[in-house]
Amino acid sequence: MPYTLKPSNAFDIDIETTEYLKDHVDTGDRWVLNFGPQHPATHTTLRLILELDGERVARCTPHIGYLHSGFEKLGEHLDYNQYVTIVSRMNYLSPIANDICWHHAVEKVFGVGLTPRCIVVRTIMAEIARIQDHLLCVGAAALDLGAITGFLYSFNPREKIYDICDFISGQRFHPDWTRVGGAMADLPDEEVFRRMVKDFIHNDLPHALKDLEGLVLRNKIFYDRTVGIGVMTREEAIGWSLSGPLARASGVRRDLRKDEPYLCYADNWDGQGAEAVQFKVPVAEAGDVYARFQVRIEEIRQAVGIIEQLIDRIPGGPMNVFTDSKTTKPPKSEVYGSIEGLIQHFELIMTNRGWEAPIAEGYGANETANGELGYYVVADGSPRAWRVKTRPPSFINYAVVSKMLEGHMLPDVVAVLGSINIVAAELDR
Amino acid sequence: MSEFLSSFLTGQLIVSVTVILVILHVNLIGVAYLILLERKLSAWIQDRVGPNRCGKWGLLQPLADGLKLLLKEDYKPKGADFFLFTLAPMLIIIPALIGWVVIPWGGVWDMPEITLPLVGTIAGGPVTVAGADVNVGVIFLIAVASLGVYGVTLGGWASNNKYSFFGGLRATAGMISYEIPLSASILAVLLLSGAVQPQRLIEQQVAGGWYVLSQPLAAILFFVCILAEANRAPFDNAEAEQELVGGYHTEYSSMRFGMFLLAEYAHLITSSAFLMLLFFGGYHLPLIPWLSPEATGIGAALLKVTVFFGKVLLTIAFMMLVRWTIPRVRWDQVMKLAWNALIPLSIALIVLTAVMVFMEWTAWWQMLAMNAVVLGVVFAIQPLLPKSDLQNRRVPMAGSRFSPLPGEVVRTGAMGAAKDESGVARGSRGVVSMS
Repeated sequence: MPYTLKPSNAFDIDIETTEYLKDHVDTGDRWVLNFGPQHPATHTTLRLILELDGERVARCTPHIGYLHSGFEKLGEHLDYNQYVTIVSRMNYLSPIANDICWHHAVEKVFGVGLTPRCIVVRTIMAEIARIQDHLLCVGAAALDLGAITGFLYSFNPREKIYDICDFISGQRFHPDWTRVGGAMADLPDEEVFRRMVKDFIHNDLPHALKDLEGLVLRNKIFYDRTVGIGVMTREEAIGWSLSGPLARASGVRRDLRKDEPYLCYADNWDGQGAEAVQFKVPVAEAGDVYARFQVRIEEIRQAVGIIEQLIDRIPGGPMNVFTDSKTTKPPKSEVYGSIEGLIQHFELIMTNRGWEAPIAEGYGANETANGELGYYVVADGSPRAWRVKTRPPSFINYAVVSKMLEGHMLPDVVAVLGSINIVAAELDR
Repeated sequence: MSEFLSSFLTGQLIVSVTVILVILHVNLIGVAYLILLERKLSAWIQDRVGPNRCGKWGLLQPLADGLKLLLKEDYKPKGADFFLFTLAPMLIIIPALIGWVVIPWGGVWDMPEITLPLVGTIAGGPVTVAGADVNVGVIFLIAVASLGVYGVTLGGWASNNKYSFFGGLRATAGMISYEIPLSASILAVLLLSGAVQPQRLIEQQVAGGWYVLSQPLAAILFFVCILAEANRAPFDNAEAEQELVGGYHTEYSSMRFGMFLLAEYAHLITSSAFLMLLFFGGYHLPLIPWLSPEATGIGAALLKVTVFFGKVLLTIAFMMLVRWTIPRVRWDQVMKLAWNALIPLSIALIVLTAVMVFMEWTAWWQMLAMNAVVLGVVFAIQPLLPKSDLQNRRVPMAGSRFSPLPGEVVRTGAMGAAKDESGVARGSRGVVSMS
């Protein structure tokens, strides 16, 4: 059952020649400005066609697809463990969150449970990824508005996060750390891991947060430039299906960690009645660019709280779950100690053999830093997914960029783009 | 021959030519090193190392940068106006260099009588250690410094690029707004001093205290205005990288771009020297006898030059700290700041200074009290002023989909939708009222 994209007349358009630009009341004095795809403020390759009246944006037409690299299609050619290397590259601001989300979806479809140790470490890493993403977003917003120092202040603590990723996975930028039913390896040294994380949240992060708040959020110039820009009301946010900090800044109390809890956010996560981690969901009412940054900074604080609750409570036991269902890699002791373990290991590793995946389909989503990141996995029993559909927060959130921008000015374009925190690799996939 | 030469070879001419040559070269090389200083300072602010590959502490970096700029392709965009495109970098750098000529770097030097071969004896006497001792020096400086914006505007116009054009427009708008408070704050000082000759300004500050004590508000206004004039952050809207790519110099490359870069820093030196001259006593430092106008020896003159340069460097370093600390003000907010705050304040300062001068209350503490009263009044009436929520409001625009005029019918959904056989665009072309 190969998946082929059928040509459809509905998509048979050429964006360069389509006369959509004339599809408005022609006032005769508008300038069309091509903002991107190569532009310092679009961070990667976004393109906006802006129709300007003076410096006011009368109409904004976002174009996507400049970083399309077939990430989704590759999901049909790589098996469930290999594909983690691709999802990791979708949102490269917080790659490990993508890893965790992808295998969350796969495990949900497969019906594989996790060991308590894995759940705790994954939760810690998911929160660290959230900090990683929010730090960059707030810093990049400062950069876009001309305060380059804020950007570098936010990058310094991210270096520590890379060190942690490097320590647990061997790669600093794209950890590709999770596997079906666990992780690629147990923590090399639990004590060192604990020390690194504590060092990060107690020493590096508070300084960076203080500097960022002082330089950015409590800065009068920044305040004047962001308050009232790109306002989305609560109804609009729901109507445009925003998620994450964008929705919460508009007063929508929606957080998958509370609404559809998973990992340590759910009660009884270790099977012995452990309580869910305690945290608050920050919600702002204003719905403007400034509120989004407030929400992000507060989410960093909450993430630190979650990590503090868990870091001293990493349970012992194995990292990876061991089942006979031919869906998870067996532990090394089984590989070397029993014939069944050895066979199962080779079945999963060798390219001509493969998985005994169930015939099932399902959707698993995590609350990542930018919003709801979800994967719809269609498993047809073969080693590879028949179809993987990503629900990237960037794509959904990018749809509102014209709604936020129209009626504002050219310098506000960068403020709005920075507040949405679009990652083009995830947007175009 | 010798009589002919000695007829115009006065001491002042020799000193002026020497000063011009020295200042021009020192400053032009200094400008290159200011770029290094800026990179080092920003690195220090941002927890980085900064350039350290070329030479010790990156000291050869400016040479490498200059060489790179010289060897780059000199690119001219299609459709650019070649004449203006070439003229713009010159127009921006020449005013910045001319401004240096009236700055009295070393005060007065009591030149001894010297005898040169072929020329004969040159009479000694007091000469000004400056490029030219123009008796309307301050006016000349204002006139010349504000010519620089023509380079920006023309560069933006001639590049045939929309981003450049926006940069040029913003620079023009900024110039118009900021020339007024700039001139007004200078006027507040001139009213107090009653002289426009740079040398006299310094002498009066030595006698009666630096004008930053008598006119602190004017000093702050002036500093803000020279930041805006020199297109420095937080007012660097004309070249706002994140909005306009490079603004007016987007299309410039090679040494043409180098000219813009040099001019920016040359402007910094000019305006900082101007600030020092008007408000911080020029070469004067209290308690050092060699730095008073009475000391006219060669040693005193050289020390004065050094102190003046040191002060200028400190000012520039402060401007760099400002640049690397705060975000950019949006250009309409820049205008708002100028018209709503700086211009009324500077006009009030002029009027009150005139009154104070008329009443002969011109001691520095009396002027300081006047400034404090002005500041107090500003803070007192500021909450009472009507607030406008205009600046970040979403403005209704004709033809906009999400911010339409009241009552306008918005068509949605038809963007780029393919036409089917009957020629009707598919997709929901329904009429939606967005208001």
